[in-house]
Order: sequence, then structure tokens, then C-alpha cells
Amino acid sequence: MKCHKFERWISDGIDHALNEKKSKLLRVHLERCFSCRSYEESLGNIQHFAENLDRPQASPEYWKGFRSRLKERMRLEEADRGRVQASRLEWKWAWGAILVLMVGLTFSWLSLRRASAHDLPLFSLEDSLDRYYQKIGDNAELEYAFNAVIENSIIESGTGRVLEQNLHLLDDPLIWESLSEEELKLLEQEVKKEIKT
Amino acid sequence: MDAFSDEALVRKAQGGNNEAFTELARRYQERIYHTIFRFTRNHGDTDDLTQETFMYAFKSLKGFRRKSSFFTWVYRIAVNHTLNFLKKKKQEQGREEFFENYSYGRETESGDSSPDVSSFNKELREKLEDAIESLPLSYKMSFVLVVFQGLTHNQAAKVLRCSENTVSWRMHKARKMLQAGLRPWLSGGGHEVP
Repeated sequence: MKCHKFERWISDGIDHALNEKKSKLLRVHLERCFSCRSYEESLGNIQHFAENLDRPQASPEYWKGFRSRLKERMRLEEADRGRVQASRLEWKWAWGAILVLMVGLTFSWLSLRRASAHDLPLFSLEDSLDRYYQKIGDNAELEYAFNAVIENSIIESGTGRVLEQNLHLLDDPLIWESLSEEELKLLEQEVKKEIKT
Repeated sequence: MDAFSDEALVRKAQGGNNEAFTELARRYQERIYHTIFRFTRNHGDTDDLTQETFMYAFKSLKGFRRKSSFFTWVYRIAVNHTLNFLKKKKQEQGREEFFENYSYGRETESGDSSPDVSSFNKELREKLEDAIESLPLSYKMSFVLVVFQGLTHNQAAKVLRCSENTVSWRMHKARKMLQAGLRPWLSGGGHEVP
């Protein structure tokens, strides 16, 4: 092994960072190598003088003042921290309130939209009867038959109103109001039968 | 507070006990100060950096996960702050500035009574200071932590966030450079450069 490798081991040995195996090998080498022994002596002197170099010694008063200043800075830091935390909490509440408001507004808007959608009639009585009258057209006989069917149905449903003959159904709002969906569907079926016959 | 271990004090400080943190600072203030001083060579800058080190530790304490010891963690903060400071300032303080700003008492070597030996040693110390100052920053950082602060290679590696092998290598290179620079003052010339 070359001497430059032992030089590193000598440095590690001064720092007590050399393992037992390497220590033994180094001791054996140093017994035989004058150059490495001289090198070890030089490093030993450097270590000794370095450890004993002048150190700045601050007075006890300085350290007392140092700790006072540190305590004061710590106190100010804690006060700042408290202010920042309070401010963050205020902002949290503000954002929370804004979020709740936006959710509420969105919900209200959606509800309104749904409600107006419900206003649209699923079934238009007027349109239905209007369609049939259009189909009947100028056929007076068919119109008479259709009206008779409607009339009879109304009487059967028990509305209790005596209707005048040849009363056009569209003119009487009570007739509209009294007919249910099922009754209208039945009417349609009856009218179709009449038209066929 | 004196009776508590560092770990116990850290737990208390993390729970909001400022006295516990102040005690931790008291335990390590001088070592941190001396480490930083080795680089700034100036009391004012050292004082500022030492305060900044402990304030940073105080602010970051809640995030300290105790994977390393408190002193390793605080050393790391001190090293980072010092390196950042040096990068900003880009300064290399000469020896004259060191003696101008140095206003505290000194520890001096004892035992040598002969004037010749004493002056020789004084000259060697001065040359050694110069030589350490002129080391590359990474070598100097390892040297200061291991030789002046007594850290093991493992501890220094944790502070410097490198491997133990890297610390060992840097120590070897630093000593080699010092030995080459101080050859006339050292007994035993070591290996001649081929």
C-alpha cells in the first residue's frame, strides 16, 4: 500500500475515526516508514496548536445582554404570530360566509328554474280539443256528434250542470275545469269511435 | 431548567415553554458564537448571526422532528446562515482586521517559559491562523467543526449534510494543505512533493 493512503488514515486517526483493523495496519506501517512518522508528527503539532489557538471570550455581561435581546425578539415574534393567526382566522370566516352565500344563491336559482319548469302543462286540454275540432273542420254532422259525446261524459261525471244544446265546449270554462286527464283520454277514444262510425 | 436533558427541553419548548428554549440557547450560545466567529472574524457580524441562528431555531422549532440532536440541528442552521452571509459579503478578513475587532480576553498557551520557544510558538500560531483562513471554504468548515468544536465525523456530516467519507476526505485535504504551508515551522517535513 502506498504512503498517500496511510496519510489519510493518519488524519482519521487524529479524529478517532479509524477502525481497529486499519489502526493495526497503520501502526505496522509507521514502524517501518520514517516519512509517514514525520508526517504524523507534523499533523499532531498542527492539531495541538489549532486546539490551543486564541478564542474570543465574551464577558458574562455580554451573554446576559445577548439572552435579554433574544427573549425580547422571541416575545415580539410571538405577538406577531398571534396577529397573523387572528387575521388568518378572520379570512377563513369571510371565505366560509362567501361560500355559503354562493351555495345558497345557486340553490335558489336552481329551485326557481325547476319551479317554472313545473308550470308548463304536461297536458293541454285546449290544444287537445282544438286539434280534434280542426280535424272535424266544416263537417257539421261530425261536430254535432263530438259535442254530444262530450256533453254526455260531463253529465255522467256528475258536474250537476245542465248544459244547453249545441253549446260549444270551448266557451264554457267550467267544462274545462271539470275534466280530468283520464276523462279527456276517454273522450278522445269516444270521438275516434264516432268519427269511424 | 438546568436539570432537564436537551430532548426534554425541546419537547417543552415545542409545547410553548419559552424558558425551555432560552435554556437551550444558553447551553449552546458560546459554541455557536465561536464557530461563526471563525468565519466572520468580526464581533458585530458574529453577534448578529448568532442571534439570527437562535431566532430561526425558535421560529422553526415546531417543525423540528428530533431525528437529530438539537445541537446538530442548531449547528446546521448556524452553518447555513454563515455560508449565506459569506456569499453575500464575499469577504476575506485579513489578520489585521481580526486584531482590530477582537476586544475580548484571550486564552493563551501555557507552559513555555523560554522567550525563543515562546516567540516561535507565537509565530507558528499566527501562521496557523493565516493558513486556516486561507483554506477553501468546504475544507475550513469541516476543520472548524471537527477541530475547534470537537464534533465527530458523523456529527459534522449531519451538520454539513454530506457523508462521513466526505468529511474524512476534507479533513485529510485540509491537514495536507496546512502541513505543506507550515512546513518550515513544523518539526518533521513530511512527504516531499515529487
